[in-house]
Amino acid sequence: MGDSNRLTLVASDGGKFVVDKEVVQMSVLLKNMIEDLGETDESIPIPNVTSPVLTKVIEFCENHRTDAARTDGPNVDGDDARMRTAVVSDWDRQFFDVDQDLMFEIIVAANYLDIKSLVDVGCKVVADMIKGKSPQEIRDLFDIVNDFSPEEEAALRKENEWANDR
Amino acid sequence: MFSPLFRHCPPAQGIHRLPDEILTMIFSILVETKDDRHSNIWLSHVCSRWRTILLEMSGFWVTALRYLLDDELGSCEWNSRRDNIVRMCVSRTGSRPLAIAFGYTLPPAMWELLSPHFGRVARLQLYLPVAQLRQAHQVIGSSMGGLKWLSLRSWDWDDGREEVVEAAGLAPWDDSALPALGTIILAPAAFISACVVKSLTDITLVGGVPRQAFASFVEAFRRCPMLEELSMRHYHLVGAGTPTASTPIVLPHLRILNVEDSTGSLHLIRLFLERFDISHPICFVLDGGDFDGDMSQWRTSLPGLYPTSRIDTVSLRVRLHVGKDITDDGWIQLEGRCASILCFRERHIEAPAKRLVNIKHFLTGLPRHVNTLCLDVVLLPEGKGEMPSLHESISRSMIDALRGLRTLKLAASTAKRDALEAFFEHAARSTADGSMAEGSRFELVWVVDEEPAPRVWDEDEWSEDFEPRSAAEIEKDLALLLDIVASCPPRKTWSLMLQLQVRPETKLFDAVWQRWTRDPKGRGWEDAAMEITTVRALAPVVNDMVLVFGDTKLQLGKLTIS
Repeated sequence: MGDSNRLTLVASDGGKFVVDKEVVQMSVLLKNMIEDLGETDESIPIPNVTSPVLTKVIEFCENHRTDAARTDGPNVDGDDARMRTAVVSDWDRQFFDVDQDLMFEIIVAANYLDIKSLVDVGCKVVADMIKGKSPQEIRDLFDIVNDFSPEEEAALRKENEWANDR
Repeated sequence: MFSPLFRHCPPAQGIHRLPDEILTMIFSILVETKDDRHSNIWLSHVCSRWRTILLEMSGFWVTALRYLLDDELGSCEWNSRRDNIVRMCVSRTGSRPLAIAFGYTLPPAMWELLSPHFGRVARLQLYLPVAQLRQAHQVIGSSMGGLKWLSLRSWDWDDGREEVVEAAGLAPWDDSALPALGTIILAPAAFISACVVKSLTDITLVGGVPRQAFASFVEAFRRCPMLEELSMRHYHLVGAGTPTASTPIVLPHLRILNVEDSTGSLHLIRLFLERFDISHPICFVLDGGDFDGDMSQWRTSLPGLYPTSRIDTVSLRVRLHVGKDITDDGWIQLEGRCASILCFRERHIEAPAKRLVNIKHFLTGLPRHVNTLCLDVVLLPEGKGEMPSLHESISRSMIDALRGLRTLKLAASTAKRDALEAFFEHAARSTADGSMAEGSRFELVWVVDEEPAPRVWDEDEWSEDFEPRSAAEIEKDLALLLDIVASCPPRKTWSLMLQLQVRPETKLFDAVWQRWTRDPKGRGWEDAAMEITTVRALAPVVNDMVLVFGDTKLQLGKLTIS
């Protein structure tokens, strides 16, 4: 019989992670799963998340394990209000100081695992990266292709006319 | 129309991995973020996927429209290109309630363009010349049935000026035309007689009222039976005439009556208060604000009107003027009517011991009910021999005498140590003798001001010559606090708020504010705090942390430094 306070998560590439249940329960998905399973020694597969990403997600949850208010109880003011008030700490910013691919993988994983605080912080970090940039600068930053048709480009130029007077 | 067919299919990596709902969340954050360089509208110009998502987000366009009208187009000359962008934004808001703000000018073409959507306007903020406010008044009453919050303020009328601005000529609104209007802010205040509806719960009025229109002004409140909060700022009467008496107005739901910054005579304030019949307890706010001079006359005498007023008071917030005598016996009568009195003392005022003695006598005459004391600037001119110790002993004896004291705020003061020690002793005594109500706490607000304490009162104190206190001086101030809290009573009975007050042009501001908000690498407050090493040592005992920058206040909650 293993430690009842810990369980094993298995990443999509087979990597195994033994984690405190308290930490894992920051994920609404896993919390519900644990409640459904009851006391068990079975490991929980996380098929959509690779080991490097799961390592980071666990690191975030370990660091925020005491922020119970972030996940407990109903969110009275809704997602928008929560997003606006989410505070990005210095630790959070350093946490997301990784290459872009990994950063977006973490956000996707957090969304899949339903870890609201990680999604909120990730969205704020990305918003900060976008803030103050022109459309072309945003495309360059994220390697986005300008896929508008010539007709659409013409319409966009019309939308932009007013800005020339600013 | 943009067709989603035959699009370039981006590789599913990087930002392209994000599902639509995550991008939606990111856009929601961005639209609330003011960007001086680029309008958020331009987010829809990045790629077809972003555009498709954004065009589905009607809430995004509601916010974008508000910023567009108020900030981005507000100061520009109007032309057809602006019509187009506004029309486009409005069309993307779907059927959502709108929030609209106009400052300084309201182009007729714009007003016309928005008119088909007036029924959707839930929040309207106009800062216009009086003449344009009059025009808007008529439109509001006839076509903005969804309005919940309204602010009408004029910029070509000085609320302190002896100028009569009446509501004459404005047709009063019908209750059924604005069934949801809950909050209204009006400057000129006299407009209220044409702007009341029975659904109003919160009214803020700024400025004077023509004496000849006083009766209709007061009668307006009779039409607001749901009123919960009434604020009168810079209230005074202007012009000739004698207000006539009327039957009292009953406001059963009124909780807060605020006449802060009002500059009328005691007689006129009384005239206003006596029109109301409010027998239930309310919070009465009488705050001198930033004004000085003759206000102190009625402010310090105001309790004299209570015996003749029908208004009962559960708490009174008042700012005392240190430089004046405040020995009015009326205050003592007032005590029987108040459950609590919060006393704030003016900042930046030299307080010779003689005046402090007066304050002490005044406050200690109300021992049970003074529960908040702010010793913001208690100073003595230099070179006065034994005066500092006298000063300290007065502060201490004042705190000793105030049995109901629960909150003490200490800023630049020559008497900090004594006052703080006295407060802790008082807290220990009150806890021991059981006079503390269950669950209540003592609160200490310790202000560390980067500005040096003024040696004498000087109106030009905020001059460019300002020299901030050195980091060493601030350290010394914090060290004193640390030294004293080491021997404080158990924390469960008191809380400590540390308030760091800095001015925008100073080095400490750069260290804290700039990094906390604007550093692209996102270094947090903790980094800046590290530079004040003692703050780090205080972290275990600080319950609350506030940064104050001019009018901006940041509530940081418990200070945590890793």
